[in-house]
Amino acid sequence: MVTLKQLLNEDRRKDAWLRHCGFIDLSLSEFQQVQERLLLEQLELLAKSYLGKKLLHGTLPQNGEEFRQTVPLTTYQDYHPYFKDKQEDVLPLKPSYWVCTSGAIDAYEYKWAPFPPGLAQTHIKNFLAAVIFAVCTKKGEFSLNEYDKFLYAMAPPPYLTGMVPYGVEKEFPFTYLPSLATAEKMSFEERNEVGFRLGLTYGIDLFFGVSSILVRMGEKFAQTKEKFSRREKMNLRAWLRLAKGLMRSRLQSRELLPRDLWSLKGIICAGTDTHFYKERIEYYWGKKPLEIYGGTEIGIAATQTWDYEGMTLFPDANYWEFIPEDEYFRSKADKNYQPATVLLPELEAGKRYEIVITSLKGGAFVRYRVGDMIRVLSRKNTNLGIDLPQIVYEDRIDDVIDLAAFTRIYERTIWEALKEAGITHSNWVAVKAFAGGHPLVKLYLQLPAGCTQEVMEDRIHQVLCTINDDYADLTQMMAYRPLQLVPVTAAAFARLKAKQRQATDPALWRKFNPPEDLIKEILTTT
Amino acid sequence: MEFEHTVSLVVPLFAFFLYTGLMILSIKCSQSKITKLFQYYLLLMMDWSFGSFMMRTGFAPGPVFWNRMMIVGMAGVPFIFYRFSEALLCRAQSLTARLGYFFYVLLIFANFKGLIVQDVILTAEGFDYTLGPLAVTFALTAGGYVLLSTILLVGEAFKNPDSFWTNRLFYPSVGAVLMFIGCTLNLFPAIGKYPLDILTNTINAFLLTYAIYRYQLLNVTISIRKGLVYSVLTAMLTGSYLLLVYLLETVIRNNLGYTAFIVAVMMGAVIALIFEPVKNWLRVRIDKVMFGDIYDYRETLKQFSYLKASILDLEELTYSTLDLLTKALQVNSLALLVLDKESNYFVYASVNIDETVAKTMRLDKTSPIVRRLAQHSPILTWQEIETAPEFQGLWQREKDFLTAMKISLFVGIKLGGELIGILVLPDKASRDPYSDDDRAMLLMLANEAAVAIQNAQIYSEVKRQAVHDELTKLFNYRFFQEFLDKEIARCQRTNQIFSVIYLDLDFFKAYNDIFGHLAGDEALVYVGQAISQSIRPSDIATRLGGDEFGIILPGAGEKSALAVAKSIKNAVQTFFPGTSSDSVLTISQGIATFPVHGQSKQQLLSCADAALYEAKSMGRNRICVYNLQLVKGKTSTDNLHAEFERDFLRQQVEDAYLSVIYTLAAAINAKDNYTYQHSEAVTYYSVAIAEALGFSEEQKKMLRYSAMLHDIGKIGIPEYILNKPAALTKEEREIIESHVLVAEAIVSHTPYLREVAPIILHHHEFYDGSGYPDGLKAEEIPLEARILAIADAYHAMTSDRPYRKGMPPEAALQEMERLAGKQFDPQLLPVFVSIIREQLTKKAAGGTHA
Repeated sequence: MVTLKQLLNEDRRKDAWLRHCGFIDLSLSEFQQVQERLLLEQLELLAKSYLGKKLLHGTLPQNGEEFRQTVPLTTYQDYHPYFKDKQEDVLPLKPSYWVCTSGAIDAYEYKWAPFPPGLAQTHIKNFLAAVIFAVCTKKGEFSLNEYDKFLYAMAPPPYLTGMVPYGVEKEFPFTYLPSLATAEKMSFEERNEVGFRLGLTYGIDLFFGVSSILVRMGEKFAQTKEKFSRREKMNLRAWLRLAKGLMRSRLQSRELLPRDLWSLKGIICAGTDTHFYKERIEYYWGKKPLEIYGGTEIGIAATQTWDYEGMTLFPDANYWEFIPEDEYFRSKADKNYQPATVLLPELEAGKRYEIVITSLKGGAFVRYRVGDMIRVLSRKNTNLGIDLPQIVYEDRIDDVIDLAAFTRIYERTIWEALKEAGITHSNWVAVKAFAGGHPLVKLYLQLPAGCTQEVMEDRIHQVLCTINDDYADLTQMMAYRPLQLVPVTAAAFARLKAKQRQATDPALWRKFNPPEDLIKEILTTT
Repeated sequence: MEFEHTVSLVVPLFAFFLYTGLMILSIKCSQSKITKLFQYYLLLMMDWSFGSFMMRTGFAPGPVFWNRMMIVGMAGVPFIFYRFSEALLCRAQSLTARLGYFFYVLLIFANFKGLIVQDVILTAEGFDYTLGPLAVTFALTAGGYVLLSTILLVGEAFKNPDSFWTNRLFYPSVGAVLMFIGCTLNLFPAIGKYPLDILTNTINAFLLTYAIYRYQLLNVTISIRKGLVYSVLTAMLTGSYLLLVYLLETVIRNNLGYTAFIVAVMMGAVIALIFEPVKNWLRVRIDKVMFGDIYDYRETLKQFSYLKASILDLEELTYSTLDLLTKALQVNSLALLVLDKESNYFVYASVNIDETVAKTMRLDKTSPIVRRLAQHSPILTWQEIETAPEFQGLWQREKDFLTAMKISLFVGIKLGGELIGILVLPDKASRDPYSDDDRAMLLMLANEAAVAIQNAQIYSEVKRQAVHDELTKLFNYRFFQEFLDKEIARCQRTNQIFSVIYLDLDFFKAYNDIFGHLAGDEALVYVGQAISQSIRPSDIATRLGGDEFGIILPGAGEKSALAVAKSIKNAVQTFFPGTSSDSVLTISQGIATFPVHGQSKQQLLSCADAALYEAKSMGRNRICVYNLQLVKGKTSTDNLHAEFERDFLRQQVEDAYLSVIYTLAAAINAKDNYTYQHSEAVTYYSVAIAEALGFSEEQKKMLRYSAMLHDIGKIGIPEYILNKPAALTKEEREIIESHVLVAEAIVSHTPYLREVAPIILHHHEFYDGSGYPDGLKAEEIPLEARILAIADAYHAMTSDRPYRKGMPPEAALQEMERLAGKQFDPQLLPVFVSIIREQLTKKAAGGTHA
């Protein structure tokens, strides 16, 4: 198949756009046609594999409707026995590579996911679609050149984001800052630092990373007075860039910002909190970040377009199903309940859904509950003429608190932290909140007698840093404490429990991550 | 001299027009990097040619000024051409190219300082110029860059084995060499005063134009490319026209004295006599050189029309058309996919495609390729498949196949809005893209082909129907006879053997009568399928007519034929399950082998027929191989056949009667399903008793018919009485009891069934004489009627009825034993009881039902 490099070299920009970004012009029915057809191919592949047969329960559905009716939903538990040892003989197709989640997820140390060649190529194609959207000014018009400088601030292989640039290399050559081979040997922090330093010399055209990193870099620029005085080995090009940047900032009578040094063509960000950082990134870097949605099991799943609003799902890597929120809650309350799913055309604006995917093109996941919640912004994007539902990634399902895409906190993480901090029996409720411009865990805790809030917060924070490396990295790199302890009286918890007993909304029953506005009043009123 | 001067004026002017035309057209192209560089090149060439023309005219401000202007263009061309070459090879701007721009700026500066050309003087012969101190530097730098461009292009052309790239780079390479020569000549003022540099550049422009058209050097649409070529032609003619006018004007002025009138008349004559014919001639020549394909296409279409009219065989037509296309389009391979009954498109015919590969290529109706061709454009390119989002639904195996085949183009063949076929074309051998003309021709051909394919399909269908039986899809009688003739001739020639099986359905008439003709037809289809499944592809299965089938097994002797016959028998039994005695439908088969049993067609078929008869007469549902000893004492084949014919007639009569029985049984079934089931069960029990008593086949047959028809008289009894849940009134009982009389009346009117009439009439008599209708007792009651009475009572007692629940079998037997000597024959009853008890024991042990 043709590559993006070939298309651009042959001056087929329109074709390049069509190949990567043309999916936004599909109608809902055309989108579903692509989905249904690829599902049939996938079912055929599944039916020939051990794992597929097991997951399909010996059936071979003839269409999507039959598939949804006869095949039960799955969780990672269904795959773990085979994936933990990377058993390839049970899979529909031999994978090109395996990717894994960064750090412990749920009950698993790592979650592995196989990517067969066709699926991997599709995800690469879709990632490049996001790159094109990030550098486009209007439909079909984009500026992308070979060897554009790409500051790629994401995790290395075997994480999904680490595999992407290797796949992209075959499609389109970028100059990575630092080079991929060098970056692999560095820590995350080092890589970012070296990347930005190289950027001073060579410039930066594109950035892909965690949005919080960009904000942190921007803040560093704005806060530090003598940014480069101690950098002795800056070459002439770097000095020239710096001089140009300084001139720009002086002309506008403000501090030096990254946007004075670099004119980024595109910024791509992943993670739950990108929308939260969006405006600050634009302020510091002069360009809005384009948010993409993806994950280990689902690959590159959806992307924003050039209005930086809702995201559009890609049609060719996963077969999409959605569990409506009420069905989700019902299944939470009754573990044996099989929640009903809806398809893309049935999504309703303003509603929340849990994502269910079936990997296409020989992937392994079948009706798999990813654990992500999305919200439908609108059924179409009228301004841009996109006739497909526009979604936003809300968060992980309520069992998880995702912090700036650095780490995920589970209920058992809190239990463990409290235990290590010496609190064995106490009332608590944890929610995700934003404070000081950053996401954090807000822990409502009934303090043990004789403990102050400050001491206890310190203690729990230290324990979290010890038991969760990513939490520690977040603290260190972003220079803030992602924990806020709110002391709560026993009476307040008694009120909460009483309220919970009366509540019809199952969301209120949860200890971990219940809707904050529902509990805040009860817990903070003393 | 005058002429030389004129030529040196016309050439740059002509070149200027040419470049202007190219520039206008290039502006219409999509503005890519390559296009922009090409435009810069044209701009510089326009400046060069215009400066050269103006310099030679001597117009103000003078030749020196125009020379300087000319050098602005001349100096830039090598550098921009170098960059253009780089872009053509998809290379980023090199340092050499950047240095070129730098040199250009320096040379322009030197030019205006007079360091390249110091002075230019117009003379009667043309003009003279004095070179400046940097002229050689200029020539070397410019020449060097042209040389670099040449090396770049030629090197790539040699390096790249891809013929498409070689062709694409060939013409710019040649153009670059010419440019290099043209520039070098300027170092010699004696030659340089002639516009040879412009001439070589003009040729270069022609070559580029040609490459743009043929090899899509630029992203120019076909119509623009055509326009471009014709514009060049017009520019060429305009130049020639100006030259001619100038020459004529000079000749007239010098020889005849100048008069406007004479010039006007001469011009008119020139235009009328020379210009138009020359223009047309040139156009034709250019058409042949540039658009020679169109002539080939016309020829191709002409040939296809001929094929269409002369060939009716679909396969022949298809292969001839594909062959024609491979030549016309210069493709190495191609395939035609047609629609099958499951709405999939499969490779019907292909040229130079591996058979195993062709078999794997299948596009189902949901394929985006099929959808696009059916619903939208009938032409689809690989480029579109690679890029358009709707093709994201393409399966990997489809992509793999298309990629492996290097498929470049799909052409839908539509008829009445339906996509009946798809022409699949790979890249051309030359790797040239398919031009608009190619596509137009393919579309025309596809439209024509649709009708032709349909005609051929109709013809093929008619041809198929002529030798096939429509119902069973087997060959028909005619084909059987023809094939047999050929097979006998072949086997006589080669001393080989073959066998014939005659196959006939048993009691098919009765089957038809009972189950209806629709079911009868279905049965024939099943039997046809059973035969097809059991034979080899080389065997010939035919339906000879009615329920008779004939199978020719080339190379098969008796044993092999017997094996095939057994296989058919088994297959038929699978379709019509049952034991050998009560199977719903059975077949009889007779086998004869050539030359063992007959050496002529007549003899062989008679033998097969005789064997079939033997199978029938032995009780049907069996296979007989022809054997002369089959007919005792008859050695003459003719006598044998006479005997067979008589017996066969008898058999036919018997079958006809039997069909009456089944018809009557079906009539009962239609009225009252219980009675029908009851009759079947009573038949089963009666035959079981008869077998235990050692009845002959004939006796069993009669008993079977009696049992089947013993309640036939209930046809005349109202249903409300038959199914009344309450006890019957006296009148109703009388009506019920009348059924034996009615039954007797019915069967007595059927000659073959007369023998069973007394059995039916008396099956309700009691052993002690208390039964009806005649109150016969003990031995007065026919034996078969007494058997029937036992079987009838047992089934009636054990069956659920609307007015009572059926008794358990053992209870019924005990009750019957209690009535032995009263209602039932005390001798016969124990026989029956033991049969049933044995069956019940077996059933309890997991055996068959009682």
